[in-house]
Parts: sequence; C-alpha cells; structure tokens
Amino acid sequence: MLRPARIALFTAASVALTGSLAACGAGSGSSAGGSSDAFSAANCQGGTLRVLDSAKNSKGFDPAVLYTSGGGAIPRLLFRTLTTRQSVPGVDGTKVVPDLATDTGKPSENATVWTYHLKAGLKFADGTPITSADVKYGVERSFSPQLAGGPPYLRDWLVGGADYQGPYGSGNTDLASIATPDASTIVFHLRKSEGDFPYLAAETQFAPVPKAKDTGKEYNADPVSSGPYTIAGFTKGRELDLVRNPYWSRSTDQQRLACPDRIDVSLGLSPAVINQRLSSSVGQDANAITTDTSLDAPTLARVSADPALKKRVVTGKFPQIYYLAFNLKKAPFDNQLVREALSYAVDRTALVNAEGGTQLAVPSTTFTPESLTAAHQDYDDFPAGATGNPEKAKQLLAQAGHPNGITVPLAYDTDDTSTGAPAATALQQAFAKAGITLQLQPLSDADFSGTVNTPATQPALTLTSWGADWPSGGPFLTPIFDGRQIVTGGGNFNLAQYNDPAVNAQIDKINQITDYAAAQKQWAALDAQLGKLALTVPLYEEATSVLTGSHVKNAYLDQWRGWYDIATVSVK
Amino acid sequence: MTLTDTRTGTPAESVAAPAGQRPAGGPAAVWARLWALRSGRAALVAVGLLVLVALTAPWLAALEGQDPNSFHDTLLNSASGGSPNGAFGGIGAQHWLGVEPTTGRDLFARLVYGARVSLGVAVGATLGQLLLGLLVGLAAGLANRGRGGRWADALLSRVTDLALALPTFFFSIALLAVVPPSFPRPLLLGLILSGLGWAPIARIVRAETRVLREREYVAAAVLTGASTWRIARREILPGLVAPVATYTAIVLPQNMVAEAGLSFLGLGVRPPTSSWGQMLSTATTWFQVDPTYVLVPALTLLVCVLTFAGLGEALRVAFDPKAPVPTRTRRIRIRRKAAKAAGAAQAPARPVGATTTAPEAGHPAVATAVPSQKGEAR
Repeated sequence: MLRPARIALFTAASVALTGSLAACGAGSGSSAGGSSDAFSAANCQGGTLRVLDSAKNSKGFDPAVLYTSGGGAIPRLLFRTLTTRQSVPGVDGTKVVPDLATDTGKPSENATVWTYHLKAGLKFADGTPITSADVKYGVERSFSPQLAGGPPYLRDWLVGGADYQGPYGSGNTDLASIATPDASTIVFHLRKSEGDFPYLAAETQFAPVPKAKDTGKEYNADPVSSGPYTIAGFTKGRELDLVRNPYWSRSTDQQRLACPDRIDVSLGLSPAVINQRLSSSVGQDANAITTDTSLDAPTLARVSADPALKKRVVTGKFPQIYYLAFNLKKAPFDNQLVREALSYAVDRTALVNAEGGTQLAVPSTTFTPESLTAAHQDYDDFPAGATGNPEKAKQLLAQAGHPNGITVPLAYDTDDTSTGAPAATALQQAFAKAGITLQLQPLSDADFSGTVNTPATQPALTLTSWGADWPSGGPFLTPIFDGRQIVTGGGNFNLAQYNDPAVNAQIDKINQITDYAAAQKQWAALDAQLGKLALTVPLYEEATSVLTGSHVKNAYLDQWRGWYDIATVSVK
Repeated sequence: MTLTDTRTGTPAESVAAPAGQRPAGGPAAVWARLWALRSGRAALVAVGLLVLVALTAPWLAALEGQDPNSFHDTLLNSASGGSPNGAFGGIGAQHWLGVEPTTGRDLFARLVYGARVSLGVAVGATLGQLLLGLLVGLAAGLANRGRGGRWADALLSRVTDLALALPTFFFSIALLAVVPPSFPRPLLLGLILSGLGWAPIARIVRAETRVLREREYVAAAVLTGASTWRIARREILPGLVAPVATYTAIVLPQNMVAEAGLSFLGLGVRPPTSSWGQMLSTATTWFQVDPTYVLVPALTLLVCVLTFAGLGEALRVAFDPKAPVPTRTRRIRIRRKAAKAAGAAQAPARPVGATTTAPEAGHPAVATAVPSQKGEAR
C-alpha cells in the first residue's frame, strides 16, 4: 500500500543536500589543510585536481548570470574581474586587490565616479586582447532581462541603470554612464556615493566578454575565458573539465596560483557520498576537494573521533548572522521592554548545540558578527549569559505590562536546516522559562520569503539570517536598518520596518568614505548604536568545516567567502 | 449478542436473525480462541502494553524524572557535533535510553510521548478508514436492490476504484503541504490517512455484503419489510465482523508506518512534539556516531508493527471465516481446532478424542461458548 521507507531514503539525501547548499558560501579564518608536506608556491604546478560537488551548476557559467561573492570558486578560475579578493588565509583575505585593473579604482571626490586602467598584455583564451570595451560590454549584458540573476547593486548604483535593458535588441544599446575613453581605461558614473565600489567590481559581472563571441543565453555553456583555465568539456549537471588557458599570463595575475594542470569537477553528487569519498581518500580521491559540501554535525562528530581525519578538516567562517527579527509595527514588539526581555531570555548555548556544536556555530551578541572583523565592534547591551537570564526577562515583561508572560508566533523556514526546526525548538524551550510562549509557525522556503519579506504579511517574530555580499558593514547593515529600503511590494529585508531619518543620513555619510578601514569603523559604531534599540536579537554565526583529500595542499578557507580558494589549491 | 438480538428485537427480526447463522460464534468465543492461540495471546498482551505506555506517558516520564522537551546542554559534547557524552548515546540511570544529540532531550520520555502520537494517529486513521469503508461498501453492496440502485453501486464502486488508484503517499504529501500550519497536525494526519485509505475496506465490505445478502435470513428480513438501514445494521454488519476485524489489524500497522513516513519527511507532527517517525527522521544521519539514537525508535516501530501484524493473523485464525455455518460436524471441527490451538502450548500432538476435554486445558470459554451457541441456533 504505502512504501514510505524507500521514499524516506530519497528524502534523507535531499535534506542533507539542502543543508550543504545552505552552508555553501560560509567561512573565514583558517588553518592550512591537506597533506603534511610543506607547500611551496614556486613548486606547486602539475597534477589533476578533482572537485566533488553537490551543486549541479546546471545554469552553467555566464558571468552576467552568476551571483557570487568576490568572484566565487570555479568562476574565478575562468573569469578575471577589475578587482578581486586577496588570496591569503586569515583576515587579509577580506581585502580587495587589483586583478585586470592596475589598482582597485580611483574615486572622485565624493566617490560617485570610479576610474580603472587595465594592465597591459591581457588576453582572452582565444588570443584576442582584452580591452575596456569588453569589460563595459560584460557589465552591460548583466542588465539584459534574459540574463537576470546577478546581484542588484549595479542597477541601483549606475546612472541610468534603473531603466537600462542591456545591449541586445533595438533602441539604446549603450549604457552612457560607463565610459571607455581609450582601450585600457573604463569610467563608472554612479548616481550616489559608494565607497564600496571596488568590492562590487570583484563580482563576475565585471569580467570581460568579447562582443563578437557573445551567444546570449547560450554563452553559459562555453564562455570565453580570461582566467587561468578554460572549459574543455562541460555536461550540465554532471561534469566540468578545465584545462589551462595558454594565453593567461602569470605575470599579470598575482592572486591565482593555478597549480594543477587539469581540474575535473564532478557535479550533482550526494553530500554523504562526497564526505565519504573525501574521508577515505582512495585513489584519485586523495587529490579531491569540494567547493560546496561542508560537514554536518553527525559527520563532524565521526571525523572528530578519528585523529587522522581530524587533521584534514579545515574550518572557517562566512560573515553571516543568524538572528531574531522583530516586527516593530506589531504588538508586543512595538515596546522596547518586550524586545529587551526576549534578548535576555535567549539561550545561545542551546542554539549552538542545535546547530551542531561549537565547531559549526559561534554565539554572537552583535548584529555584525565577529567574522566581519573590520566592521565588528563588541557589545552586549542585554547580557543573557551563556544560557539566558529568564529572571531578568520576566521582570522586564512585568514592567512592560505582561506580568503573566506573552504568547507570540515565531516564523521560520522549514527548508533551512540552520534556521529551521532545531533552532526554533531551542528558542522555544529557552523562552518558556521566561514565560514567553512561542507558537512555532513553520513556513516552506517559497512561503517564507513571500510572507516574511512582504511588510503586509510579515509576522511579529521571525528567525532568519543575513550575510554580506562582500566583507563590509555597508551591505550588511543598509538593507536591514535603512528606512528607505523598506520595500512594500515584497523583497523587504528591513524586517524591523525601522525608519529613522537620522540613521538614514548617517548611512549616506559613511557611503561617501572611500577609505576602507575608516568606513568600517563607522559601520561598526552604527551597529553598536542600533544594538541599544534591540531591533533584533543576534543569535549566532555559522562556521564551516570541510574535509580535503589527503594529497591536497594549501587548502584554506578565505575569510571573504568562508570557502576554499580553489585558485590556490595544489595537488603536487 | 445473539441473545440481545432476539430479546429486544421484533418477532419479525427474531425470525430473520437466527443466531446460529453468525459465522464465528459470539465475541466471547472469539476472545477465547484468540487467547488460546499463542501468537494471539502474545499480540494481545503486547498491544495492551503499548496502549498502556501511551496512556501513562506522563507518569512514565515522571517515574524516570524527565520530560520530553527539556534541553540538557551539559550532557552534550559541543565540540564534537553536539553528540551525547557517554557510551550508547548517554544511557544511564538518569536517562534510560540516552539523550538526543544536539539538544540533550531525554529519549525515553520522547519515546513514550511519541507513542501517543504514533498510536493515536494510527488508531484514529484506522477507525476513519473503517467507518468510510463500511459506509461505502455496505451502500454499494446493498444498493442494487432498488431500481436506480445498480447505478449507485456502479458509481460507488468506481469511486472506490479511483480511491484505490490514487498514489496515497504522494497524495498525502501534497495535501499535508497545502493545509495551513495552524491546523492540528495529528488530527490532520488521521484525516488524510483515513480519507485516502478507506477503499480496500470498502471493496472487502461490498463483496462480503453481496454474499451475505443472498442468505435466507436476510431474504427473510427483506420479506418482513425491514428497511435497508435495519438490514445493513442488524443482518449484514454482524457477518462482516470477522473479515473487517482481521483486515483492520493489518491496516493499523500500515497506518503507523505511514505516519512515521510522513513525519520522516517533515510533514508529520510539528516540533517540539515527538512521534516515532519524527524521531527516526532526525536520527538517521546519526547512525554511525550514535547508533542508540536510531535503534530506539526503529526497534520500537518494528516491534509495534510486528505486534499488530501478529494480532491480525491471530484474529483471522480465531474468527475462522471458513466455518460460517456451525452444523454438528463443523462445530466439532471448530472445537477441535480451537482446542488444538489451545493445546499447542502444552502438548502439540493431543489425540482427537481429547478435544472435547478442552476445558481441562485451562480454557473453559472455548467449550462453553460453542454449545451455548448451538442452544440458541436450534
């Protein structure tokens, strides 16, 4: 009659898959992974690196469509961009460095005009030289409705970007706010000050695309490479073979070590299979890594018990905060005392355990997590301690006029294994001690964004997470706390629906600062200032642990993305 | 049962319902034969225990000193994925079956509380299936007595076929996904499982009804002008008890597995409520690190399903639907069988002659029930 057992097996795999996808893109500080032999950049060339991935990459590799942070993993092997992330372990990995350009960009006085000069001798994989017009064309393509998918910033920032429809079709095919006075110079005109522009210029939309070779929607299967590798074979959803690009010049590229001669990527594998193959490291799997499958709690527990395996685990953090979002437009959270009560009642130890223990999560009392080092300022205005302070919470609730406690619904995403049922249950049991009854309101992934990110339907309390597109306080705080970013039609991330003109003006002022360190200090101060209002309850930040094959060297998690910098990995 | 019928019934009915026609004797006889079967006795005891566990879950948990939803951070190794400290998933005097990884919730308490959901949903769904199946099956089986009745029978039968053809599991998944989360989940599970699983019972009931309604006693009832409803209730229904009861015991474990499967997919009960399926679903990824966590709900579910399957088989034997008319010879055969079953525990190769002394084997009900039936019948 019913055969749940078989179905159950399939689901187990898909659940695990979701987990790993959610984790993909996390990471920071890092330890050197791989084998015991010392790594030397001079002597790392050769061999075939294998990549075991669970993602199917069925959309292919069109630089206009990809949504990466800092250029991504595999895309960064194919596409060079105006700037890129610095390929070093540790906090310096959050720095932006020149790639195609000679510097990270020259801003105008108020950071609204950004000028770049291309290095000499740059070539595509077909031997043709890379010009500023190719970079301009690459950016313009990303505005085309048929190539949608990239980050939204370009449309918002560039003058005339809101109405531009890309270079295809009749009408105005040229975006005037990108100027190319000569073959090696490109100038971007922004409609507002954006000191973070060099960070955006590291995304694949800033990769050059030769107009003559553009095949529109078909370009994703065989893009013209500007990076150290080019696609030799690609079966969507199954495998991708990369070989060296003979026209890539090491002398113009200081970031990519490009050690292996070949990189063979297997796609669409089950996460359990990937971790099993990496841990046994038999045959060619010794030369394998993964770009998207981290260890889940049970696998981590198994690996931790084996010293030989434990040596091959690499950990890092992606600046992403898991937090409770209050809807200030709904009672009882219009009252700051109630919001503070919840801040006191939270049990971060239970949450960290629910996430899989201290190797997979770190408690955070600040909205900007510690892993976003430059923009982080420590504060703990409502100290809950390790396991919560229900007494203080009860007292505050009584003050707020709720001596018998409150009952509130908590919306969470059932498909997100991190902010899903385990975390919601951990919150529920901790809040119960303070007289706060949480009614769990599970929402499927599709329903979640539809309900939570639309102010009209947004519940009073939501468990969610926020990560930055690049390591800066700007993209971390602005969508959450800028009152002008409240989008009534859907896609709203200012869940507090907080709109303070003074704060909005402060944000504009920081955006004008082009000095990274100075700007980050200001963002950190803004975060600490907003923290006093208890607009959110920061809970924890996620950590990533990944296995590598036993012969893999120089594998570390960069702190920009919290994932392997595949361009520096060696199997020699 | 038969006595009540004749005493309270109208004269017409007492004619129409000769008790001896009842296929397998009174309930007492069935009970006795069930008890006489070793497997039947074991299944009855096990079912009783399971129900007892479900009913007394709060007291059992209190006896252990735990409750199903309290987290115990201190019992977990947070640096090792949140796995429980200690051997066998943290089994000890405090936590009889260990604790759940990443939360430290007590597994024994969750298991006994989970029995409430798992058994409750399974029993509820089975009763629902039974009700729907009986209604549709009886209506279809009795329908073509009237003029438009043949159409009604055809319609009901096709609807039953349609319900049989539905891929139940996928349909449940789809339905569970669209119902708003505020609807109580155990009730929803019961409703969906019964709404999708009544068809096999309806088929059995229809077929059996068509056989029974050709019997003389039913024909007599019809002649006396009894209403269809009355015939269904008083004449047909008692004859359906044996096949339906047997089938019920088979369906019940299926429903239990279905609940586990749906909970496994995350469509069952909502956290923090526990059910065996929910426990199993969270446990599967831990089987290499913490086998206890997987084995506890898996073995419980296994034992439970086996128990009900065993009960179903024992019921089938006890009702012995092959002997519907207890003539003198057949009655002896029944008694012999029952006695054989009863004696099986003590002396498998008891001579035939000894069957009449079955009461001596410690089961007087077997011997007394059958003659009393005879007295009523003839």
